Amino acid sequence: MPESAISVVNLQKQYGQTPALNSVSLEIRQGEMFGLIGPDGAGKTTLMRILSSLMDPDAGECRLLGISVKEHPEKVRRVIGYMPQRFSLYPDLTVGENLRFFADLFGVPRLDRQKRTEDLLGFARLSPFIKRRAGRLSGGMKQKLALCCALIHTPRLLILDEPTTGVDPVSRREFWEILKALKDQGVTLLVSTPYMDEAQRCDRIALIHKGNILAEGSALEVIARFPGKVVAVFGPDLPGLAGWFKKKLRSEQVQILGDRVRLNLFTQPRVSMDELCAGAEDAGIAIDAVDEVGPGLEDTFIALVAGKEEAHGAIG
Amino acid sequence: MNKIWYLVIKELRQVMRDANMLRVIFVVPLIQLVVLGYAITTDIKNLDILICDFDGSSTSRELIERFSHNEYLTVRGAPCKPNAVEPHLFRGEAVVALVIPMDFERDLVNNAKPEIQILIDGQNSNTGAVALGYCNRILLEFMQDVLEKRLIRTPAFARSIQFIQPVSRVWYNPELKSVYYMIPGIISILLTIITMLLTSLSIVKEKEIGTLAQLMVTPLTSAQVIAGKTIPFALLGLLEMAIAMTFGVLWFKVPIVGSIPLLAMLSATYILTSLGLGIFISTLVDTQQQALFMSWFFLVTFILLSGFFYPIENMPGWVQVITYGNPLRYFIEILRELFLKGAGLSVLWGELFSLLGMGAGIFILATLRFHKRTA
Repeated sequence: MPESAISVVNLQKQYGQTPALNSVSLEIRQGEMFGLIGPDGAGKTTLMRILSSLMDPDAGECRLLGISVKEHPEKVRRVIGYMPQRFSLYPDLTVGENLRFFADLFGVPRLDRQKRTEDLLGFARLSPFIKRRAGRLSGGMKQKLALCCALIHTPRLLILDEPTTGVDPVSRREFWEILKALKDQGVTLLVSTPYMDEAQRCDRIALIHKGNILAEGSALEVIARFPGKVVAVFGPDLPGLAGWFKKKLRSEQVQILGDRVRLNLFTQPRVSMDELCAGAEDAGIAIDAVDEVGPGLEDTFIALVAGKEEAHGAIG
Repeated sequence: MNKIWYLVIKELRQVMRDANMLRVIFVVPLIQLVVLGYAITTDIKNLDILICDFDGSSTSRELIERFSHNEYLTVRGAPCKPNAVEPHLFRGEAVVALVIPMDFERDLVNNAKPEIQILIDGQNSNTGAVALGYCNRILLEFMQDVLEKRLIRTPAFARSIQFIQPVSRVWYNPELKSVYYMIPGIISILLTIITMLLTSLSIVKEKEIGTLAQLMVTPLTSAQVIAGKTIPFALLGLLEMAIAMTFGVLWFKVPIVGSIPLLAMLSATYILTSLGLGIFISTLVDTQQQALFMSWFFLVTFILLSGFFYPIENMPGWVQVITYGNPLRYFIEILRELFLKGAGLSVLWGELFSLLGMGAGIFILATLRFHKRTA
């Protein structure tokens, strides 16, 4: 049995002049829950479509469970489940009919099918809705049905493209619990999401931006790559404080968060923090306290993007 | 094979569940058949003709009599004043006006070339031309009779003259009923709508809602997907054709002289072409709206260049060449030959091979494009 569930080497893809994937390489281990984290347009969907054999890359190679996607797309399709970003089932067929249709297409034996369908629907708590048309389900239920359809042939590898985008917070948490249960059953999962908080639930993650992998590892490992420090500044006039710091730092480094202004100091400011605060006081903006806090994934992402762009600027 | 069957079942289930689709497939065509069967006719009946008789002689009255005995014309009298006719034509109260001049009878007797004025409202050139044809025929017959009467008075001369008497007989549609000619055309258009338009719409719909990509990650090959998407519409098309034909035979009494199995076989060939075009269209567009526009473009072009309304012989040479690439042209030809003449393969093999060639070509092209676009 191959060591890695997904192995991607130097994958390239361009849409016209716009690069979507820039020499991407990834190794995802069997049984792992791997998160692909990045904003819209980062290349997450492109990568997943290529892995699911829906799209050909311009260059590079990818193997799923040891099978080359390019050479044997039909074999790959049998062992993976793919759930696209948009709800893609037949709205005019019922929950049961959709499931049965995909079971038919994947050639799930009739004997196993009954049990598999019941298990999946029970697991996703959709059993009471088996006769309801898919188009009449709520957003969260649609995503769960899509997941059931992607799981009907018991794939060993599941590729989920932003499964929780547009789903309410309660359904989101429920969905992640289902994913966790699947992982415990030994299924390898590749999940993309624009939400940094969801990344914490993955074993390992890759931060992706404009077709480049910025960092890879467990969430803690990725955060450990944060180069500077994060500071919380407290004061009575938060908008005033934020405005002051925005003048002195980059605007993406300053954020009002609840009762504080959060400064992401991934690069050493030209003047020290003490001088900055003194300057603010001189300008008549009161500061009560300054605390150093631990960086989060989002801070790291911003820092890495800025670092990448600077390096790029230095070359160009 | 089984998997294609699942797709077909799924497709038919979706069609049956969509009330609008059912109406489009089963009710609309019958309404079209009835309405168009009655409406599209080149027989022009009850043409209003205005006759202005300045002569008022027995000869002119005899002439008017002939016009009023014609079943296609309705004579309306007009005051015998100069310029009295034009306002009536202008107001559309009559399509034709006949002005018999003052000395009509006298000129006729004296061999002085009597002249009659015919005014035609040319707004609708078709009606105008037909009306002129009717008038000319009546006048010609009238002249012939006048001539004959005069010849009888000089028998010696009469014997030396031989008239050419054309004896015409119309075959295959002896009553020249245009409905016999139109029904096969309408059936072919209905079949095109079902197979080309609905196929492209249904594929593009799956593209829109993303299920096509979902189908492509199943172990189905793209050939299986295409088969699964086209077979249901081929079946629906044939069913619809059977309904329309039964209706045409029972209601409009259109004779079917030719062999039904041959008709089914030739129709299947046409359906191949039409389905191929439907798939081809679906690979060119991304939304159902675009698919509708594109199918409409093909449909209208095909109909106009098919000889359905306008005889191909009347088209300029270069347009006639284009019509050879129009599958509907062959199919309408086949239907008419089969329905009315009972033509067999010995006559229709040319059309058969043209359709087969076109069908295979467009199907292969469409399948290749389909594969590239979705894979």
